[in-house]
Amino acid sequence: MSSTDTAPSRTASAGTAMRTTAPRRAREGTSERRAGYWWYVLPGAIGFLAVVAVPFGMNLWYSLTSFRGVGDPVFIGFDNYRRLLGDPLFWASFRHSVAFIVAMAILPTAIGVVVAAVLFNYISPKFGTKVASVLRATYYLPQILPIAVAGVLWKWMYQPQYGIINTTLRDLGLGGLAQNWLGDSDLAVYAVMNVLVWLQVGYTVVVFMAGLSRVDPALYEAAELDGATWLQQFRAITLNQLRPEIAVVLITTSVAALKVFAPIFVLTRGGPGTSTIVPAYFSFANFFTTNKVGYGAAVASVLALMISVVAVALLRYQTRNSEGFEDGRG
Amino acid sequence: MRKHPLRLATAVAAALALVTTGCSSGGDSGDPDTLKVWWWETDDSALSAAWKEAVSIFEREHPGVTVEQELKTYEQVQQSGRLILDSDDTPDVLEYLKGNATAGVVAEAGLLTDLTDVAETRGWKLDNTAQDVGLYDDNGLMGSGKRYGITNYGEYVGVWYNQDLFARNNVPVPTTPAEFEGALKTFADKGITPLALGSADYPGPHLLYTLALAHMDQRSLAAYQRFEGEPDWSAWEKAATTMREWVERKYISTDSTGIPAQDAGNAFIAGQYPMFVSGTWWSGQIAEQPTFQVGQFLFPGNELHPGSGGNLWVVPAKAKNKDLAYDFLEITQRPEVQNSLAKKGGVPVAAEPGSASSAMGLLVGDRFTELLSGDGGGLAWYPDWPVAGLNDVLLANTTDLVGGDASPRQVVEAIKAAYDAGKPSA
Repeated sequence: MSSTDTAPSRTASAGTAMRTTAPRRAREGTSERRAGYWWYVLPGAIGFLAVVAVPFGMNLWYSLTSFRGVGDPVFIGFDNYRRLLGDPLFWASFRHSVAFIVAMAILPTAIGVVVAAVLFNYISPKFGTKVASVLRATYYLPQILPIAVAGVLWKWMYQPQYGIINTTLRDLGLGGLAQNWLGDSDLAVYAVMNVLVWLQVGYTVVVFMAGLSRVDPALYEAAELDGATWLQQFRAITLNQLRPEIAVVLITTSVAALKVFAPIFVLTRGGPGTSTIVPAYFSFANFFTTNKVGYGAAVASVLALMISVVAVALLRYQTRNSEGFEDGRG
Repeated sequence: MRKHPLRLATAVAAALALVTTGCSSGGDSGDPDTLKVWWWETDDSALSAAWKEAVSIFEREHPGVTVEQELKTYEQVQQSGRLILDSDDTPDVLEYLKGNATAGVVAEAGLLTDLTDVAETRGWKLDNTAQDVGLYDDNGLMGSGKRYGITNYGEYVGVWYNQDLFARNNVPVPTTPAEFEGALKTFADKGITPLALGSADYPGPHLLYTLALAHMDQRSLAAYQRFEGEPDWSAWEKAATTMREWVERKYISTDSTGIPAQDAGNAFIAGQYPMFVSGTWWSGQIAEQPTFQVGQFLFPGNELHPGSGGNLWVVPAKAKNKDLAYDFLEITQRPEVQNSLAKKGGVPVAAEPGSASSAMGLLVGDRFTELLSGDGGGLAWYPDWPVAGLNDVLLANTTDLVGGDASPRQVVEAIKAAYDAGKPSA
């Protein structure tokens, strides 16, 4: 049986080795050899330029024009941005983004960490790893389902008249609880949030289970010998050890929540009214239905900026707080 | 060593230039013996059947010319149409969306071929109001100016009704607004929601517009659709008030805010509702249902009804084989193609009288001819046409109205604000 600090020390020593050997190799290499490596970067660089940098630059340029998608763009400076600041729909779309961060990042992370811990520490030892794997795959299923299919599925389930949710409620004599799920402007945002949680939990469960597999079992054994309850083990070991994974999941899901588009497009198209509109859909609507390409580009630029700010802030916070990432800071 | 990043940048720029020029050149200058035709109508539609017949006639009359037909989706053309028309790989003939925000924008930008002289030289008979959807002025406004497209079918919104349900509940077919409200009340009193409505989709705005048209005349219609004067927003407020009252009286279900058009149509076809206010594009599906006798009447009391010529055939300005394209357009107007459209339940614009072989074909075809002539009313186009993006605003506000989230006044103010913001400044 390995000692409790084997795994971390192995990681740390590997990190140290990389830090010490990499500069040495660089010093050993000639400039000609390094020049040779540039060609390996080339395909990625071309791809980045063609798919990200150039379109983003063009988007920035269009955001300064009154472009309608055809004809010549007319430069109007920051007018689109000024208009954006006073557009209540734009701000409403960002308010909904906060709800969707809860649905795509916070709730799935919280649920995922509990489910992963139950699967790893309870189901797996008691019923076997196969059962845990099957359950994990079940949680992950929504992730492999195309979003259009998942959306149509949920639309059927939410359908107010013959949807399975309302018909089941009515069959159980709970007809009073039947709702116009996606058609009620007070409820729609929660109905969409529910779908997003359902979609995201599988991702967090898989990541956290992978994270738990690297935690030394001796930690749990020692805690058990000390008489720690499952909840105490969960708080002291599971949550603590999963900090790097939690940080990564929070970053990726928060960014995904800010740019969420497909589920909104399939489920509600921002409605009823504008009760579920999000920035990405707002931008899309300006691009393709109102011909205000310049304005849509401004929305997209602000969205990109906000996503970058959130991602950088979360990354910095995570780098400061996570031991797992401190090693790679140097 | 410092040179390497520069070298890399140069290489990347060169590669990028190659990639972009490769993309934009689009290859050939067009095979003179190929006609490229793109449309989005699915194979089971009357339009697709008629146009396939047009293709076979074209091939018969142009031996040696190959027709390359590609099936697109409506969304593809709606969202990427401008890029398709602006590319060097554009087709010779394209089915395109009518309206100021679509065909109007690309016509104004010079991406469509002006067909005015072609139509005159070739003697195309386009002197009916259904063909107004192909005319655009210098500002891209539909209805007058040069001809950029032609249509070969029409459509209008009426009231589909279930004759069996009407008979079973002793409800006579209404001919006046009062009788219509009486019919709604009779059904509601018996616990039957009278109107199938999908206000999560276009039927909501269509019903609101139909109710507004009850208070509009040709002058206020021209003001709304053609910016000829100030629109009569009081007509819209009366319509919104009526619609809200209908929700409160249970003539319309508040659930309709969560129901798309297809679900509403399906529910009507399944016999769950006595009436469905929607367009002739449903005629094929409704005619196929075997469970009840179906009828259709125009919205009682209205002189104007939502409707128009159908979507357009356009010839892109960058099309390679325009003469072949004109030949194809000509064929789609021929009686044999138009009659074929009528036989399948479509609404032709130039069919021979009595050419429809089905009861549904005769019903909708004859009524459309009547609306075109203006004798029994007129075509009022659609509520979202004047201004780009108005559809989203109408939809959002209709759902708010039906859901009780906004008052009739708030709804009309929001529609007016979007209309005013989007209308041409000149």
